[in-house]
Amino acid sequence: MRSEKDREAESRKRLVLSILAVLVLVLLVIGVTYGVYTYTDEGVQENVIRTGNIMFEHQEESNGIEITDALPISDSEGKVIPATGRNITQGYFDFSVTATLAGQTDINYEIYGVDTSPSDSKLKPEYVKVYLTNAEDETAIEGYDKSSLPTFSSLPESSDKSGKKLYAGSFSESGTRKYRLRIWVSDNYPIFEKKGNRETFSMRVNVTATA
Amino acid sequence: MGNNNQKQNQNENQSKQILLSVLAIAILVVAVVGVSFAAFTYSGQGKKENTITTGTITMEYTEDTNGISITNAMPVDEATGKAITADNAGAAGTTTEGAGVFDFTVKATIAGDVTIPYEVSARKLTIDTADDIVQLPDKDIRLYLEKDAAGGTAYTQVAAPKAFSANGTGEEGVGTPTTNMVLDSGSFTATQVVKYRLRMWVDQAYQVTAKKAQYKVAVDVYGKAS
Repeated sequence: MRSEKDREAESRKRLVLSILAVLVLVLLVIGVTYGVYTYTDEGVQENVIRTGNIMFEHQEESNGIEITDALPISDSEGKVIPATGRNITQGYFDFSVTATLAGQTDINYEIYGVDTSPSDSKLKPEYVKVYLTNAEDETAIEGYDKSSLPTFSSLPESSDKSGKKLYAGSFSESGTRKYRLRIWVSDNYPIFEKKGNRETFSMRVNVTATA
Repeated sequence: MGNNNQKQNQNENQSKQILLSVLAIAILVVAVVGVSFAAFTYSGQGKKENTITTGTITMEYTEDTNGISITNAMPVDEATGKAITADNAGAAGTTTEGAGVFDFTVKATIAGDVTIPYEVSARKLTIDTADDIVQLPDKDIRLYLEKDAAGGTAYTQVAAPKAFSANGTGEEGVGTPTTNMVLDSGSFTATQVVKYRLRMWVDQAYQVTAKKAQYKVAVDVYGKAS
């Protein structure tokens, strides 16, 4: 028969073991989030894990697109809409995304457009062509390098259900990427049927990122 | 017995303490893990509006007079045909109704930077062959078009009088059907009114027979924004 003392000792042992087990679990889950510094007796070798640091931002580099009296044009004309011109106050929209990464992690981001058109006299998104390029060298971004460009309505839904995905990418190291957006009236817009009525399409560009 | 109960209570208390300790640490883990995940998301809302507003293009085709209607028309030469007047004088025939010329207007209203090519064409109509009326051959009809691009009545020749000949280019062009005959082509780059006058007569080479013959056309206008 075990003595009272033995049972108490066993209870205390169980308590200590339980606490240790949970602490080990905490350490495993938190992982690299916290720094661990160790020192060995065999020299000045330091084994260090420092915490990662992530910063992400996006900048709207130019004014928003503003084109009035826009008429249907072909994709080849739309791709080269200038910054300014007749009826063009701002022909394209420049923006950038910047990631600062100090640590081994990737950051995934998504650029998406949100339709903010007025409800009355709205130009339907199926008649709005979308074109995204690198702002520095004007090369088409992946998905916009095909012969047929997408309309706003044909773009896939973004992770934010209210928007349409323009592009998704990722950073594995710090950097900045500059984008240029153009939109125009598709050449299949039935302008003669509108009988003099003007229509408007508006959109904003948002960005989300996760790591 | 009392000692046994006391020991049992102590054991229960210890078990409770162990359980509470484990729960407290588990909550701590969840709290730490939860904060760790919330630190790695970003959401940026754009502030700039990107807006395009459409321009407008309207085209109108207006028939200003009744269609040409000449009965008992006799073949005439080109000079006589070109001189046919609105009241049909010079048509070498008598008219019971209608006029010797057909006036119509093509108008474009444009707000925007665009070129709109357009074509004016004649569409041959089927005649009513009752009362033994026969179709005049295409080669024996002359169509003659004049226009004033300033929207007035100072008409000038578009082209020399021609026999009906279908030459529309369909969707490859501005949309004129291939069964139509293009009488004039032009383009609008700004708001503009163009007035036209059409004449039609039987060419002098036509051999008149005992049968009555007839020819009918309608005028169509096609335009395409480009």
